[in-house]
Amino acid sequence: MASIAPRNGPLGYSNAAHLLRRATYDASSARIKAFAGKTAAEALAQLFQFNTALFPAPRYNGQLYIPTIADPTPVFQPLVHTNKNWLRHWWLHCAMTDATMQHKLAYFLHTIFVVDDSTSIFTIFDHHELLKWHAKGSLKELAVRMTRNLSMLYYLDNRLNTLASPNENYGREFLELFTIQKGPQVGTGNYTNYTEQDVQQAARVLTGFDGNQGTAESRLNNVDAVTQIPHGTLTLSKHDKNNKTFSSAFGNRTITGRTTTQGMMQELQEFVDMVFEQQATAKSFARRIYRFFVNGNITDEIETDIIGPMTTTLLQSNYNLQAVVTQLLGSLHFYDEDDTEKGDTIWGAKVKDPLEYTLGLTRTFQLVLPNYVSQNNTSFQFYSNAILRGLMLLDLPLWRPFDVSGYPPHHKHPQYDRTWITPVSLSSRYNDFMPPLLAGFRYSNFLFQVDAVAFVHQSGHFSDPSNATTLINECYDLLFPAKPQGGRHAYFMEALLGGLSTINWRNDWNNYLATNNKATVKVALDRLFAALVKCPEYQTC
Amino acid sequence: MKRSEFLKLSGKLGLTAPFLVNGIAARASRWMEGIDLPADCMNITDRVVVIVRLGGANDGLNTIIPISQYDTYANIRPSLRINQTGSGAYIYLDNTLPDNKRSGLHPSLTGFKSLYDQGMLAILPGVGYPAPNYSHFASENTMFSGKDGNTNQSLQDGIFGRYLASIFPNLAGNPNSQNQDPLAIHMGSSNPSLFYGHSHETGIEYNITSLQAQLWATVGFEANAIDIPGGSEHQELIDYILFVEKSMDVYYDKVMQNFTNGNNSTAIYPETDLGRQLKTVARMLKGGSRTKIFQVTLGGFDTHANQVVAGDTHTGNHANLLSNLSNALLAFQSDIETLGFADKVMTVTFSEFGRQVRQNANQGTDHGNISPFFVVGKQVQPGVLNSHPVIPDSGFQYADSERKYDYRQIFATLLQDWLGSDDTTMQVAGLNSFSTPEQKLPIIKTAAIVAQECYVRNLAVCNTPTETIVAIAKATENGWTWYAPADYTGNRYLLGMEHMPAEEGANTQSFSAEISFSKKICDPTGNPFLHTHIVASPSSGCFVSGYYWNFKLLSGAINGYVHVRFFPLDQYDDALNLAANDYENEAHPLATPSLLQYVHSMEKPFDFPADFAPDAPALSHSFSLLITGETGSYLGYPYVGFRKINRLHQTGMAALRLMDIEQFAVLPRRTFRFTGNGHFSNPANWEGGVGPFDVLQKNIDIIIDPPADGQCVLDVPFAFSKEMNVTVVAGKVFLVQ
Repeated sequence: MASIAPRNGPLGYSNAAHLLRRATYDASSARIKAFAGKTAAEALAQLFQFNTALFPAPRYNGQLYIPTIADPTPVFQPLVHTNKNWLRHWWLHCAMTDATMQHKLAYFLHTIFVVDDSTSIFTIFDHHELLKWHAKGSLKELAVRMTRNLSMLYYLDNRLNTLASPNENYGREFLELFTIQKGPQVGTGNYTNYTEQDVQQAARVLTGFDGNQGTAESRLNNVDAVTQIPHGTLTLSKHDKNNKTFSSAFGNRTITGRTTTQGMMQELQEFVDMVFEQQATAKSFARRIYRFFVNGNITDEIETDIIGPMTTTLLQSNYNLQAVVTQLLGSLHFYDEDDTEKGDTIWGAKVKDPLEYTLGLTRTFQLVLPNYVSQNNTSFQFYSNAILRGLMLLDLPLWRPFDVSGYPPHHKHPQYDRTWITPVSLSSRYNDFMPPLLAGFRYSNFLFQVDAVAFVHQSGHFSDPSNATTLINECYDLLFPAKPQGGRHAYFMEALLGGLSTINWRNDWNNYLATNNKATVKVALDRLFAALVKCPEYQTC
Repeated sequence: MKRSEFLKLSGKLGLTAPFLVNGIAARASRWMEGIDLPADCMNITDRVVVIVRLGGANDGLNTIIPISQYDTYANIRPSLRINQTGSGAYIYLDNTLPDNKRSGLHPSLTGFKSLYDQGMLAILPGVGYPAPNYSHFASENTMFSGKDGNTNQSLQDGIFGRYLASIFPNLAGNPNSQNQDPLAIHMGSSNPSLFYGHSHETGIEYNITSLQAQLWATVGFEANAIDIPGGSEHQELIDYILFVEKSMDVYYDKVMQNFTNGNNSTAIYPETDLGRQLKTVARMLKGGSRTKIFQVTLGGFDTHANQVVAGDTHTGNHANLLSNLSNALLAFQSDIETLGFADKVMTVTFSEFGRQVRQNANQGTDHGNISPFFVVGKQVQPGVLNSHPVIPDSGFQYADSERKYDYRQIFATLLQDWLGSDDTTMQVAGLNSFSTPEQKLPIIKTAAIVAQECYVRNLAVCNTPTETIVAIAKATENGWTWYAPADYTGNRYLLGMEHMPAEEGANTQSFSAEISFSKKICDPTGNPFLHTHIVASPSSGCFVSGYYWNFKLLSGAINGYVHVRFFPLDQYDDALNLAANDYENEAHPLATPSLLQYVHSMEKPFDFPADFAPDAPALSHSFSLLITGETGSYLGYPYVGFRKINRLHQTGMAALRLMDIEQFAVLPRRTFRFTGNGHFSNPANWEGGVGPFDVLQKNIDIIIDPPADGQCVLDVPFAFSKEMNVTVVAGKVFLVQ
C-alpha cells in the first residue's frame, strides 16, 4: 500500500540526492551533503524559502532594460524587441542558480497554463514573473490572475471575447486543459466534468476581460494590486451582463450578471470558485503534480493512496502549491519507503527533462560560468548557444510550446516523460553536451570546460581518487539514482582503467599529485566522465 | 527527423540488403562500393586487417628468448627466466636460423610454433619508436596516431581514422544501401580507440564490446554473465532507453545480420574472451561483413607483479596470456582457412611498449621501451625478421640503437602492400615517410603484395589550386547579400547569401565575408565514376560547381544558419535535376544521404565534369535539399537555393546540425586604421581598403590616423560602442560633422 504519510528522520545522502534531483536543478555534491542531515520537512521548508532579491534583474548587453514597479528606471530599448533569447538567458541563469524550488515550480506552472512567446518581450517577462510569484501560492488565485494576464489574453484571444462577438477559446482551454480537464465523454458535448454549455457560459463570464500590451512604460500604469505585475483591463461595455447558468456538472449554478467592473471581477471569482470547488479539479492538479515530480505511472493504488490525499490537501488549503508539493515530496511514498522493497519503484524511474539535463549537468560538474552582470554578453552567448540550442535539440523549445496543450512529454499519455527520449534527442544527450564540455570551448575568450581532473581533485566530493573503486562508486552516488552492478559496473571501471589495473590507476593518480602533470589522468577521467553521461543511467533521475 | 521516420529508416537498413550475404568467397569483387580496380588485382579490396591489442604492454624478453644471450638473460631475471632445458623449457623455434636470430618461444606459445612451422608467422623483434613515453595512455595514443615521443601536439586523429576517412569519405556513421558496414569494428574494450579517431569524420570505429554477451549467448558460446538487476522501474526505464539507443544505431542491424548469417568451422578456439572475439570476427566475415579493420583486445599484460609463479616460471599470469593469445590465433587461422578466406586476412599484434629487461622485486617487470610484434596470415612472409636486440650490460632499458623497427613501418607496409593504399592516402594517414621501398618491411609474400597499378587510388590533387576566384559582398537587397569578384564589373553574381534570415535558429549577427573558389583536383583518367576526397582546410567545403570553396569571415560573427543561393552552370543543372528526380523516386532515398553517392553508385549516365568532386561533405547534405530546395531567378539568372546552411565557416555547406559549438570560435580582435584623407565612410581611406562598417560593434579597435596635413571627417551616422576602442592618434584631426 502506498503511503502519503510524512517521512521522518534525517534524509541521508541518497534520499537527499533523490529530492534535489526531482525538486531542483542543482543536485551538486555539496548541496546533497548539506541536505542529508535534514528531515524531509526541513529540507522542503528550505526549498520553499524563495528570495527573489538574490537574482539579478534582466539585462540586455549589460544594460537593464525592463522597467518594473519596483524599478521603473530602465529604459526599454526597441532594438532588443525581437531577441527573446536575452530574456530566456536571464530566466535560465536564475533557474540555474536558484537554490530553491521556485524556478522549477514556475516551469511546472508554465507547462499547465501554457502560452507561447509571441507577445512583446516585457509581456512575456510579466507572464513568467506571475508564474514565479505563484510558485508557492494558490493555484486558484493564479487562475484568476491568469485570466487577466496579458500573454494569456493574447495567446488565447480572450481580449477579443466580447458581448457582441463571443470567443470561447480561453474559456474552453481553461476548463479542458488548465483546470478541471475532461472526464469521459458521456453524451454529445458532455465531458462528465463539464459540458459544451459550460464552455459557452464560461466564455460569457469572461467577456470584457480585455487588454493591450502597451509599451514598456505604459504597461506599468495598470498593475495587480498584490503582485505589482501588469495586467489587462476590464471593459464593461464588452461584458455580457446577463446571468450565466451552468450545467448539472456544476449543480446548474447561476452566476448573476453584473453591471460594474467590480462586478465583472466578482463574476470571475465566482466562476473560478465554482470550478475549483470541484473534486475533479483538485484531482487533475494532484495528478499533474504527481507526474511532474514522480512519474507518469499512476496505478489504481497510487490513485487511491496518494492522489486522493493530495486532492484533499488542495481542497483544504485553497489550492496552496507549497502544501501539496511538501506533502508529496515529504512522503514515505516519494522515497519509496512505503513498502519493504526500497528502490524498486520511483527511484530512477523518471527521465530527466531537458532543463534537468542541461542545467543539472552544468551544476553537477561545477562548470564555471561568466558573471551574469559584469560579463553579460559572454553569459548570453553560453546560454543562447549552448543551453537554449541544447534544449531545442532535446525537444524543449523553451517558452514556445508546440500548442496550447504544452510540451507533450508532460502530458502525453501513456509515455509521458519517456517521450523525451527519441533516437535524435538521445543522440544529442550523448554527444552534444559532455564531449564538447570536456574538450572545452570558448565564447568571447571565456573558457567553458569541465576540467575532469580538477573536479575529481578539488570538488570535495571524492574521498580518495587514487582508489579506482571508491572513485567510481562516488561517481555513481553523484550522478546515478542507483549503483550499476556487474557488467555495467565493469563497463564504467573499464572506461577509467582502459584495461589496466587499479594499481596502475593509483600510480597514475599519485604521479599526477606529485608532478601536477595532468595528461595521463585526464585521458582516463575524460573517458570516464564521457561514459558516465553517455549512458541510459544518466538520463534518469 | 521525426522519431517514427528514423525508426523506419534504421529498420530498413537491415532488411533491404541488396547483395548476397553468403560469405566473402561468393560475393562480388568489390569491398566497399566506389572503388574500381583493374580485374587482375587479386580482389585486394576484400582484404582485411585484424589487430590484436595486447593491452598493458607485453614482456617481449619472456615471450621470445634470445638464445645466444641466454646467460645474460638468466642472470638479470633470476626468478623470472624461462628454463633452457628440462621442465618448462622454452620451445626452440627453428634450428636453421643464424645465431643472432635464434629464438626460444615461451613454452605457452605452442600455437605460434605451429603457425611458424606452417609458414604463417613473421616475428619482428625490437619494435618501438623514438623518445618512448612510459605512460600507457600517452604511449598508446602516440602510437595510435602514428607519432613518436617527440611530438607535443594534441593528438586527434588516428592512423586508421585518417586512412579510412580518406578512402571512404563521409561514410562513417552514415551508411547507405551500398555500404552498410562499419568501417572498423572494435571489441574487447568499450573505450574508443584513437586508432580510428578523426577530426571531423565521426563514427569510423564501431565498438561492439557491449554486444559481446548478446552475440555470444546467441550462438551458445559460454555465456559471459552480465548481472543486470531486474524488476525495478529504474531498470525498466534503462531497458527502454537502451532500446531507443539501438534504434539510433545505424550499424546494429547489419552487424547482427552478418553475425547471424555467418558461421564458424569446427576449429576449436580457447574458451577465453580473446578466443570468442576472434571467433566472432571469423563468423562476421563469413556472414558478409565488409568491415576493413577489426580490432580485438587481450588485456592484462601490465605484469608489474607475479608475472610468473615462483619456482615454476613457465606458469602464471604471463604464461596464461601467451597461451590464450597463441591458441586463439592458431584457431582463428585454422577457422578462416576452412571457411575459405585465409588469404584475405592479415593479423598483427600490438603492444603500446615493452617491459624492462631486468625483473623487479615483485616477480614482475616494469615499463620498457621495445617489444616484439607478430604478424600472422596465410600470405605472410614468414620468419624472424631481424636479430634480437642486445640486452644491455646495465640499466633497465634496451639501448635506443637496439630498436630494430619503428611500429609505423609495420602499419605502413600493411596499408600499402596489403590493403593497397596509394601514396596520397599514405600521406593522409601520416605514414608516407614509412611507406618508401626502404622503410617497408618484407612481411608479405611477394606474390601477394599489391601492385602499384592496383593501388586504391585517390585522384591526383593538383599541386597548386588553379583558377581561384575571390568573391566579396557587392550588393545587398531585401536581406540578401550578393557576392562577386571585386574587379568584376558585370551585372550578375556568383552567389547570394541571406545573412540573417528572420527565423528561429538563424544567424542574428551581422558579418562580412569573402568567399573564394578554387579548383584543387585534377583527374588524370577522366573516369567520371572515380571520385575522391581531398583533405581541405577546416574552413573549406565543396561548392556545387565542382570548385572547392573557402568561406572566410572578415568581421562579425555567425551564430546560426544562413540561406544561400547560387547560380549553377546550365550544363550541370539539367542533369542534376534529372538525377534528383530519380533519387527522389528511389524506394528509400534517405538511406543514401547524398544524391551524388546515389548517382555514383547507380552508375547513372550523369555527365560529371572532370574536375567535379562529388563527395565533399557539403554535397552529402546539400544535394538532398536540391530536391525540394527553392529555385528562382535573380536579375534574370536562375538560381538554386540551399536553406539553413550551418557551420558556414567550418565546412562550407555541411548543414543539419543545429548545435555545434565549434562554430562559435572566437574571432580575433580586429583593428581598423584610418590612413586616408577625407570621409570616414570611404573604404579607400582605410588601411587595406576595409573600414569598420557592417561589423558587429564589438571587439574592434579603430585608429584614426590621417596624414599630418589631412583629416578624417565623420560624414555618416556611426554608433561608437563601449566595446570598441577608438583612438585618435595624437596631433591628428578627427572632424565630427
